[in-house]
Amino acid sequence: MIESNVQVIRSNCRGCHGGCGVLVHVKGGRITKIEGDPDCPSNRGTMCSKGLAYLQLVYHPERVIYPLKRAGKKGEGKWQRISWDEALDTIVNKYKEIIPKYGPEAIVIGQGTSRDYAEFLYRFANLLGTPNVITAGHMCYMSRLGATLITCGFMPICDYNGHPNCVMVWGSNIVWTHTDEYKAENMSRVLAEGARLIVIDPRLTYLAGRADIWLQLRPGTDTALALGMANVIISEGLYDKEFVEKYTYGWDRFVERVKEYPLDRVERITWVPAEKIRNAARLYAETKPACIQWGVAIEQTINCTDNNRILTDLMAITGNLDVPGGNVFFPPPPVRTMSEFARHRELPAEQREKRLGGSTYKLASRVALVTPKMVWDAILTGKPYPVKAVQLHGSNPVITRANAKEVYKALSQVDFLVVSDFFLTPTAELADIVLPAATWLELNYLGGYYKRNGYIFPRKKIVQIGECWPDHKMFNELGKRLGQEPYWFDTVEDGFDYILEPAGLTWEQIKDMPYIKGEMEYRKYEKRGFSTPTKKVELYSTILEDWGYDPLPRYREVPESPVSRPEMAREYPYILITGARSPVFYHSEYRMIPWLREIHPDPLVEIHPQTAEKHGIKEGDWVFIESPRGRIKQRAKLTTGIDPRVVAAEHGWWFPEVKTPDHGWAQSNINILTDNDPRDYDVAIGATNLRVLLCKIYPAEVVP
Amino acid sequence: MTKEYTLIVNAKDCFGCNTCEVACKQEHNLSAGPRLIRVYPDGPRQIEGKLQLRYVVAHCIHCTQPPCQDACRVNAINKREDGIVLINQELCVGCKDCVDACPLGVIYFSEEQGIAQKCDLCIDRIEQGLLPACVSACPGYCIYFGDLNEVVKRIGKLELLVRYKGITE
Repeated sequence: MIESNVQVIRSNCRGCHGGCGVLVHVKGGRITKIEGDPDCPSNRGTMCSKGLAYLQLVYHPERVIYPLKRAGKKGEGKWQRISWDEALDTIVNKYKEIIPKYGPEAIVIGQGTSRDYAEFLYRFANLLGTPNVITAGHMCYMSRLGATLITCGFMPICDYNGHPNCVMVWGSNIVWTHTDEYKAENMSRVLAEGARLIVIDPRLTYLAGRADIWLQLRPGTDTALALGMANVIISEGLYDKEFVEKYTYGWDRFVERVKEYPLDRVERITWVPAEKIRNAARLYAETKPACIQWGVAIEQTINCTDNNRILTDLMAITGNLDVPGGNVFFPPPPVRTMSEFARHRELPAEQREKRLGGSTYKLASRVALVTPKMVWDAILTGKPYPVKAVQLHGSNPVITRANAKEVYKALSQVDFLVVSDFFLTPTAELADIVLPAATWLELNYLGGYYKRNGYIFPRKKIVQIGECWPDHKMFNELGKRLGQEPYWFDTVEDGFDYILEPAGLTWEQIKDMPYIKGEMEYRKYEKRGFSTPTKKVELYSTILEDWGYDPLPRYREVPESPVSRPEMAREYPYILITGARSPVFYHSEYRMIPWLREIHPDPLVEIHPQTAEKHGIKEGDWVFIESPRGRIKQRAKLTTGIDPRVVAAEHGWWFPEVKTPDHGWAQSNINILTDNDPRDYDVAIGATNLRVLLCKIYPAEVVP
Repeated sequence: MTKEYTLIVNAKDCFGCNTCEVACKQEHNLSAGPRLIRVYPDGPRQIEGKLQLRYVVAHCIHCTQPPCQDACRVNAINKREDGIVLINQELCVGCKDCVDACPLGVIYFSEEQGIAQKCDLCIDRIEQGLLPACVSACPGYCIYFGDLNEVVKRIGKLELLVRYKGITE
């Protein structure tokens, strides 16, 4: 209800990466309501639970709203409020001590999902001279970006507004979580229009149940399945011959590779009946236009790069690239690029050479990423050189990175840890300095700047909470104090003006506009080709070839599976998949929000009833899930929507209600079970195998 | 002709995102506890020849002949001319008879306030010509609101409408 003396301000949500337009109601300086903006093309007035619940997050009594310094031993939970000046000076003085002794590479800068400040973070890191930036990018989004960049020059995105007649949803629960550019609303509309639906998922989701064809594959075998579909499309002549001839590179060698994946072999690998694969391949190839909606699941495995590449190849050979309703390249508004803002060129070549793991994972290096394990190793062993300080923004690696015990140990031991966040998470509790971060309701920004859907939606500061700062401002002010003055701005809004300059716009001019948008044009390749070395879609990648990797996509067996590790499977007989999404959480966020936690109070592990019965597990029981790395507890949710040989556990769990500084980080944390052994990484991007493990399960005797 | 407002979910299109629950909490300034609209998983089970995972959403349907109204000993529950069934919070004595009487289990007892609570169809919003909060926010476009006849025209004679809104099959 709109009351009198209520001001309604248009902005853009950042409760996840969905980027929904919102109308924020403010009364007497306080936010009273958040609702969807019906005029925003991103969400057309609809919302999700997370964005709406920011009302409870912004005013949460446990929020960190002042800078804090450690007042006891590391991790003891004793904090002292300090001023921003003291916090910044402490950080700056520490860095000024470290740099002459160990070099700037001894300082690691990190972010989690990025609460939309990656370009400020990279600018700061590059100007500081450290090549060591840890993000989730090695196994989330950036890995998709990197793989598509080398294959077709840009990331192809589903064109829902172009009315696809078939959507193939691959490892995504898009109706519960964003996929950066898209979310539930877009999917609802194309389903209402009658689009055919193919879902590839080891678990029954709503979409899988609704699909025309659901391929319930063995976890981690997606690349083999996609190669099998390519095999059908080629052998049955269902590909777009003209496109293939004119616009692809390496067709013959690609065909030879694909021939190695006949359906009988693919059926053995994937558990999916050959006929189903054939039908799905036909439906996708013969329904025009068709798009592939991919999720992050396929990236968090050993097959990351090739999985992204083979799906791009499917889009290409069926003629669905950059056509209305296919997978398209949305041109961004004509603003300065993120990489230009990030000043990657300011990082001296000799510093770039020092990037941890850089020479090993060449695609990761190309997109300026470090695999986090390399950082933990450097902290714990001093090799190849010591890491003395870690500065994390909106990141909770104790919960969200593989091999949590190692992460916890490394972050407990690093000389100096700075964490910027909303709450004292288990990671923040290990810090020396905690910085109070502003939420999206407390800052100005160019919402959606990093995305590939062609929009920028102004995000506007509505309220000030305590002394919280936007992370952008933290980088700006730290940068100035570290001798980077010429590169930084009086205010972060001046930074936005710099980004907007090529478009001839300023923040003041756009802040009340609904959005700015790039001019869309389909089939751009007809004029300009694709932005790859051969100007074609590189089915055979000349870049991977130059780097010494296999230039053609292939399936590598999951490193920990009954196939690859039959001995181990005797003790750990179930395939464990991780990271199934909840609609009310975003990774490790929001467990402290009453409206959301009420909906999802406990971590859940999905088990087939037959499997549960074998182990005397009943619905709702606390269950131990054990891998060779450790064991955790989650509550059993029995479902026939999963193969009896597979169990699916949730990620991101810690317990803010546990008031000791550990906040129960090791109790239900899936990353106690995951491994970060580099032998199991994707060879090009260094993606960690988070998704597919072996485990055993048994009832937990006591309730935690 | 008098209105008979109703709110109904087309379960076929609901994917269980829980957005309606939080939209309702926010609109009515509710704490954790009462869930005036609530999403439950339905399945996995065989539907139309295949295994499906659906959701059912429990909420007040504003019955044509509300059992809660009959059960209330202090006449705190009334059905207005436009069909909205409301609890008068001033009159409610917290006896919970309505909670027991509701066939859909969608009347809640607020421990905080000591009274019964239920969906009021966002009466303040609809009086301003807006949709109820849950309807506006739903990304599945599966919550229907309006006059009964018009809702039936849009989604047909859903079972709950037949059972509680006097629609003949």
